[in-house]
Amino acid sequence: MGEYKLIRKVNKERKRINRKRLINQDIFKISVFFTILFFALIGFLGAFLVFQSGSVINNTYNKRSESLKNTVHRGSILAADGTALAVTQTGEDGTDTRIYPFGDEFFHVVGFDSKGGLGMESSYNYYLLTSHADIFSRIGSEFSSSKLKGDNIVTTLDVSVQQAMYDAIGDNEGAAIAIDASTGAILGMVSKPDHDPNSISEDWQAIIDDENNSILLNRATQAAFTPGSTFKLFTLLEYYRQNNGNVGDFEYVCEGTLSEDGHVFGCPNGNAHGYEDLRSAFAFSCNCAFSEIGTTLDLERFAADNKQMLFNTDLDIDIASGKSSFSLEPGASRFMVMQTAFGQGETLVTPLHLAMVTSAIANKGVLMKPHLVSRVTDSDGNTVKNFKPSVYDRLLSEEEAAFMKDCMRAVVTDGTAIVISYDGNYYAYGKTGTAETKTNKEENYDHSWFTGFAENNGTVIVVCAMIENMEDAGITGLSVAKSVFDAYFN
Amino acid sequence: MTNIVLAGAKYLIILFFAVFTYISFTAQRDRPEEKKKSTYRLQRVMVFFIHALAFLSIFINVAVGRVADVSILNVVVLYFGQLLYLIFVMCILPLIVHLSPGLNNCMCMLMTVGFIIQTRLSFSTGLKHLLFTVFSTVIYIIFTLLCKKVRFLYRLTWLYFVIGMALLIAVFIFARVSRGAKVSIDLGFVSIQPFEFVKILFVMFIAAAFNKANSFKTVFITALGAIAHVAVLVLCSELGTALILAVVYALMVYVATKKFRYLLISIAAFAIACIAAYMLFSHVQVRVDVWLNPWADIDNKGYQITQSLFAIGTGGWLGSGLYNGSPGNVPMVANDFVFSAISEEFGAIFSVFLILLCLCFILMIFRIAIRISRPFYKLMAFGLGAVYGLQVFLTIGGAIKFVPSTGINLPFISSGGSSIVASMLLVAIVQALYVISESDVQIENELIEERLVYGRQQRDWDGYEEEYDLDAEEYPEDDPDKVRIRQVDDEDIDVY
Repeated sequence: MGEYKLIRKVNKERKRINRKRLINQDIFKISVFFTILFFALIGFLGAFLVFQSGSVINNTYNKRSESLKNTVHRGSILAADGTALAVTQTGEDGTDTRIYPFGDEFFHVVGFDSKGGLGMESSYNYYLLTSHADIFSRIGSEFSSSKLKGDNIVTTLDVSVQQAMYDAIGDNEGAAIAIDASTGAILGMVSKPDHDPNSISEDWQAIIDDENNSILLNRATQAAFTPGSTFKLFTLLEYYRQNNGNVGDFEYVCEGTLSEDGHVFGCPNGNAHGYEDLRSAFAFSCNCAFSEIGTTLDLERFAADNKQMLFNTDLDIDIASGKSSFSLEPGASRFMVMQTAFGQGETLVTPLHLAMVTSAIANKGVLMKPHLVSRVTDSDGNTVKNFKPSVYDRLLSEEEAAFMKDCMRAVVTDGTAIVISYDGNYYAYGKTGTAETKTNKEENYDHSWFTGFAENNGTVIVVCAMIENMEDAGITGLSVAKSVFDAYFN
Repeated sequence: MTNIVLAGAKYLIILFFAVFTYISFTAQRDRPEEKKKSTYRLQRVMVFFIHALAFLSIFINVAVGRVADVSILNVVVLYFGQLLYLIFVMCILPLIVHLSPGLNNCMCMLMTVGFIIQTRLSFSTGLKHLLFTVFSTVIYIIFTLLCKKVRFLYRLTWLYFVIGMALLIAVFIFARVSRGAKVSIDLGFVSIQPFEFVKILFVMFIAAAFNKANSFKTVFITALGAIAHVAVLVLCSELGTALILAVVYALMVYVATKKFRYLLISIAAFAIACIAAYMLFSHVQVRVDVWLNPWADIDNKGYQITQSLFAIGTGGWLGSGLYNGSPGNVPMVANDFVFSAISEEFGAIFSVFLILLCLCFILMIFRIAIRISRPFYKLMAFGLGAVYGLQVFLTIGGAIKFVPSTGINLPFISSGGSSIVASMLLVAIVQALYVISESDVQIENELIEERLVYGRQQRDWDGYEEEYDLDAEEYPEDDPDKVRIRQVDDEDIDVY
């Protein structure tokens, strides 16, 4: 064997043995284990960035918007039909100004960007400050020091609905909300008093100094009020439930007033409704009849069912909202039970919550999740992210919903909402209410409520409206709703 | 103009870092060291480029007045300070002492990332970081020189145990509770975090114990020792370190005994211990709950991890660029959550390569362990690699919400004197072990050669021990582990 051959053979053998040593070691197995562990880290990081970071960084606790403003022109907020509700105008010196073409009209729902933000400007901040321009133009903009155009938000808002609501409420204090019952899309949302978002920075000090005027509060979603007779929806539903639907033989003779525990109360102005069945008692909003109904209810079940109807619950939606409260418990006085049954007592309801329950009735018992955004697009209009309608929960059975719908129709055809019974372009359903607010009883300071829906050819729009101090306002929740229905279906 | 430079620097840093990581992996291929010289040179060039580009960005940001309280002179001085240090460690040190250039370059790359991010987060921390690194390098050199000469380390089993436990008990008695755990002892002029050193002592304890024998008795006794360590750590509420020691113990026992059942038993015991800890300690429950749903308590307990996710998410794949993010919003961003700051400003692509580079570092250490024949050194190298690996995994995993956050530092990158010195010490020992591995491989190769050339083995390990080992008499003829080595070798060599 030649020496050269031998050296080659030795080298080859050395390599072979070294490799064998390497593979056979337990340490090699642990190396593989660590490799898997670290690739899992990389996979998790990648998955976070691809799937989660978009929604995570939109959280209002992320305080990085100031730095993003240096690289991105804030995107626009658009109505469902593409009308601009908030746009950024870039001046010749490169400074961005936020313009709200509709002024006050979308104040609470669109909100404003400066001074800590409000509404969608605040809650969808990062979508507006994120650019989905392609990676080359992004890198290009870094080199050329020009800003990128941020993504746009296409909302579910309908300009005609919003304007009808806004004009109908006029200069009064109150709130209204309109929802498409089959999707949960919010078509309009007004709260008054409001302010022009274009001049929010100049007037900021005055706004926060004024302690009586809660301009920044969105009454439609965040404030809870005494529901008045609109609460009879819940009493009626509960009576139906506790009697397993056998309510056809209900009869009552209204004498106008009742007295209990030294209190005298009853139907408005003591007007006696006379003989009633359940449907007409609801249609005429008879307080005496509903007081009697209230006293027959199992209160424990009433409380449980109202919890299921989203009382005392944080609403699981992407809109800042308050809680409705219902506090009647077993052992409450008979007087308290009677008061609560027709909508006085300690119950408080937010307009949004009432609109949600109404939309469940209108949608065969299924509540669709209320939402404001339908999609996010890049600056060229290509969809970046779709927000699909989703089911919130089933609140009522189909039979219950049909029964409630029938009673709400009676309110329109025979009862207190007869002004919208004109069946031109739509069929309307609803329930009116007048809430005596305890604190201002002497001044006759009543809130006017209406919640209901109108349908035509499968399109169902839910409107819940509330006007504070109806005596001075000269309008009612019903008249606001009528304006919206007319505007939407004409 | 500045924009072009800043954007260019940002992308070049990502590119160079990716190249560095790639060549670090390729340098691990089995080739003679002489042929790898050009690779090592390229690695050094990449480190200097990245360092220079990052400081160019810092310099521009300071020059245009975006950084408060820092003058241009500060930046220039710090840059050249760090540069001189890097030149010394990467170019001059290998000429003085025998060490693995690949490991050394990787360490310098990690340190450079640390230099940059610490300087960006706070100029004074950056300066402190450099000073601690210089100080620990002295230890690095001393250890690298000493370890070759000192031949009795494998006999000091119980000394490691006693010192380790003494440090732990000292922490338990003297340390004040900060952030829910007892961590550091304040010596007046400096505060020390002994846990960082206990990890190394623990590895030496286990390695020395298994050098003598790997019987069940050894497993049992070391298990008691490990439980003692972990128990004191749990009492100090230092769960991250407790976790590391427990896992490292299980892995080392497996490697020492080659018995898979010990690993299974360890995993079972470990799972029971975790459940027990969850049931018994409220702070464990809090950590786990925050990990599962940090959004529920975003204001308070979930604040740190959610801020970390905001940082990583907002930075995106390409990062915001230096000084364009807000890493300062994340509590403890210079220590436990330094990964979030890196990911925000350098981008997630950079972070992915950073994770890969750390993996490469671990594999390098494991490779050294594989090449060593003598069990004490082999186990020690393996254990130190595992300590490093787990530390990286827990820190990065905690920052991205992959595992509950444990308050562990990222070696060489997080600030904190004890962390820097301990990390340096760890690599110093590994470098010394590298020298041992080289000589072991050489002996092995000569044995193979002899056998092939002469058809039989003329000499065996004992002969080599006498020739190469100054303290040959330290190895008695009936030393059981020596017999073990020879058996293993025979198995491997016996291919004809």
